[in-house]
Amino acid sequence: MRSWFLKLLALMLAFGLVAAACGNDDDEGVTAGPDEPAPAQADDDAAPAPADDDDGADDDAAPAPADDDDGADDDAAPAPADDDDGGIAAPADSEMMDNCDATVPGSEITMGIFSETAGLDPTVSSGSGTTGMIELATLYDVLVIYDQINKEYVPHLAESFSSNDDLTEWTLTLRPDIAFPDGTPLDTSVVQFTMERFLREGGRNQGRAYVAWIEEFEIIDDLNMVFHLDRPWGTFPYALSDETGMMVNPTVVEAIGNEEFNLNPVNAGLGPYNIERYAPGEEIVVTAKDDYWGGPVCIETVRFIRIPGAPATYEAYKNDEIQVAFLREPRVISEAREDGEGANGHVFLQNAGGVVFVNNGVRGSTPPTTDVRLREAIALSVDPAVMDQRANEGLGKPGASLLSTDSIYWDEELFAPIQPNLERARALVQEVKDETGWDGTIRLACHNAPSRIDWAIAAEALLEAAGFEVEVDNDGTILDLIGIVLVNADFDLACWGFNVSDETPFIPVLQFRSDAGNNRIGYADPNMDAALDKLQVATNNDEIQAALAEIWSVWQQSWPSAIYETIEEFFIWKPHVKGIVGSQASSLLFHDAYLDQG
Amino acid sequence: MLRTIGLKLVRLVPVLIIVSLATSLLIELVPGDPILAIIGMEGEPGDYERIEKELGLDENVVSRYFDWLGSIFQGDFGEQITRPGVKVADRLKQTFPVTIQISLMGMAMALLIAVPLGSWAAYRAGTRFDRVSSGAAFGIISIPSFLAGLLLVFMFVFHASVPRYAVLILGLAWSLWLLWSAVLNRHDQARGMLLRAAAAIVVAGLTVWLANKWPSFPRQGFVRWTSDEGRLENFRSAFLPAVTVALTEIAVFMRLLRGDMQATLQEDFILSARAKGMPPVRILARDALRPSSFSLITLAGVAFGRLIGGTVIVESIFRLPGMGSLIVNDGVNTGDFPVVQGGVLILATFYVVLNGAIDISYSYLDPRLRRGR
Repeated sequence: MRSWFLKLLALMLAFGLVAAACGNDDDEGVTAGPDEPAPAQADDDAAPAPADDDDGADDDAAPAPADDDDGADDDAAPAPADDDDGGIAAPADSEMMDNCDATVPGSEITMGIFSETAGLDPTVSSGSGTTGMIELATLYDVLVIYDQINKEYVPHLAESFSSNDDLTEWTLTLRPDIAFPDGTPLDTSVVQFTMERFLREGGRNQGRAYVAWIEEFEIIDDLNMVFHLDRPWGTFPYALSDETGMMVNPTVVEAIGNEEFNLNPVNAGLGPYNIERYAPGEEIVVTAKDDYWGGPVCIETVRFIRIPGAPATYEAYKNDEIQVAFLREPRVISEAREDGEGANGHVFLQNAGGVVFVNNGVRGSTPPTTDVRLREAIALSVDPAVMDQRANEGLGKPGASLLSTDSIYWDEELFAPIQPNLERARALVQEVKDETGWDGTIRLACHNAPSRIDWAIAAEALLEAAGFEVEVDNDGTILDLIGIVLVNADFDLACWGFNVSDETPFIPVLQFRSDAGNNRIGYADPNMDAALDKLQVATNNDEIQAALAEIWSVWQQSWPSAIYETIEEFFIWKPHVKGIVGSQASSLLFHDAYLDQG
Repeated sequence: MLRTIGLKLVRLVPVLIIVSLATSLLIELVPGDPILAIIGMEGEPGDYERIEKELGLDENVVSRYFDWLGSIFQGDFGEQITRPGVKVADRLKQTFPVTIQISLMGMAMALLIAVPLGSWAAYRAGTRFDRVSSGAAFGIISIPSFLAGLLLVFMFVFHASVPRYAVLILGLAWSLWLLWSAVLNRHDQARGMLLRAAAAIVVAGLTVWLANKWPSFPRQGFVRWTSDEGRLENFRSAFLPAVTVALTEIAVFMRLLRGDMQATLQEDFILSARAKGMPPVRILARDALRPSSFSLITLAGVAFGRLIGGTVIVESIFRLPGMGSLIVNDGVNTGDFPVVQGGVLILATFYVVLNGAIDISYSYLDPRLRRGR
């Protein structure tokens, strides 16, 4: 009797436990743990509609990146107005968007960046949005920003800028009544101090090269100054929008010294945020200022972290651990687009981002590629589609032209890509062999990242098909490659990139000038110098396009290197994150960012 | 005892000098140049000489080593070359606690799981449990840590319902098995049946509780112990990395303990305990475990020391700001020798002190060693 009672009790208990386990299961969902944050909006799970132009995979469409490229652009910045002198003035309604009345307590976003900055001093950070510019812009702000809608530079901390006729003098007027948190006013002496630091501190930032073009800072008064350049420069505002245009507080720098300033620049900038925590190798945390000159800063905290590798960055984005992500790997960008993430984001193009770098005889070296016929043979044998298939699984943006089809300067006739022509390449190689007795050997330097190993295999196969005997050296790291190319100039061919962005094509292509300090391949062609001179004085997009077309025309006569792809730098952010603005050099600005709780 | 500790500390000094000297020489041989890391791909040909001169990096390795050693004796670990103004000591203070926590949690998990499993496998040698646990151990050993980490991310972050339901099903199945055995075991006493039924209730209750409170784990990142976000967040962020670290160690510890304990269980004093009717758990825990744990403790010490500097893969997968990442990514890869020197010095000190402590612990584990002195 007792035994039966126990058996019955046990069975009832078992039944009860199973029922309890199943019954309580639906309340909290399967994956949502108790600590999981509540979704920002009810329909977060719904995939956003994909963008219908540049974010799509269809290369046939001729996308205008400005059309719908980010959520921020919904808050369209007002069109700039020309001032009386023909310069560019800040919009009449100069205040930025007021997306909130005050900073929203507790609001926070985290951004997965591409690589870490070496410090928070603009002269130390190596530059562009890939390395530090986004973080630094939150702290310092910039004099000028690149308006991604109208594709031109517009004043930001500045009120206006204009040039003289020959583009050697640029007049800058600052907005009045802007001050650093400690009360130090933004005046022309601050601008001079900021820019001269790039020369004085030795600086690692490449901005020091073009700050050196400023012969004289002529201070007219507290708000007006003239930059006297040693050469004409049509897109000088670029220098005001780069790290060189990030205003630093001289009082703070002098009080704490350069080293501390690099690590903890509290109150040292005019940006919407102040530094909260800088832990190298871990994170940069900035918190909103309550007295930002441009109005209320909506998001209280922005955190910048680096997650190694685009796949892991995108996984963290999908898991909502980061709300903004920087992706630069074609496979992951493609996946993000397939997931519909392109609707909220922005694409920066690095035209000619993938290049077979060819030694034209740099610093007295005499590689076989000093012969223009071999350079042409290389350009004709490197098939972009094959390279893309091997290195990017066919998901990149192949193209043997100076510009991508997505570039604002693109014109099919002006920038027609070079068509692979193996027959001609073979004939040229054979011609050189017959004429000089050269045995066809050529060295190809790259590095040991997995995608670059695939790249080297494809390049080797294509070049050998044209009659070259390729000796590949890709055992080392990317630092070894930099040493081979920049320091030792001991290469024939190398994997490299020119990164010609639409916002500032002049700076990257300047390296092709015969007397340029950063001419890394020893290329020299008077026709190219003349074309670069035209680009240097180009002031609007039509003039820039015409100058670039001439450069591309000269390129196909003297073949400095072989272009095979455009690199995309793809920023995505969650649908509830609004107001992020793209500027130049793959940088984003957060001063108008807010979280849409609707 | 104090004399022993003192002698070990004295021996530490030459060891550390030799290690630091060897590190200094080896860093010269591996690729990586901090100046190249500074100038990057956008640099100009003349930048190298300029920065080399600015940073005073044109000294030879010997004078550079003695400069560093002199600074160390003054308590200065120097500055990171590639990050101006960043003190190496600050980076070490920032990263060491992270690695210590992950390693400690990993070791604790490994020991908590390996000791009972290894002991029971030894006690039930040759049975189905032994064969299954041995097979599982070999399987786990064969999974490299990077793969284990990615699998854990796949399962616990992106498909969290799978382990959750697995725990639920297994726990309830275990509970049912306990109940069933309580019901069917005709030879057992009523007290035994009630105990099994109670165990079934406890197991089922814990399972249901765990399934309902199943935490979500982050894909990456680390919340510090001292963070405002709290200890729970700290454990949540450290859990998957610690499990990744623990997995391999569990298998190794289990196999090692099983072998040693199997030999111990053949000893006369164990037979005597059995003859006296001592329950198996008491025999294993109180009599057999201590003499069987010499190899385990030695290996655990070595493994712990290894983990302190060797968790770079786990740190990379989960983006942990630990010592491994610091030394490899910020030091070796860029040739930033003050980082490498400082990091290796801390690791070597820790390693030597840890092994000294293990040596000392032997005398507590085995009275014969204590008396032999």
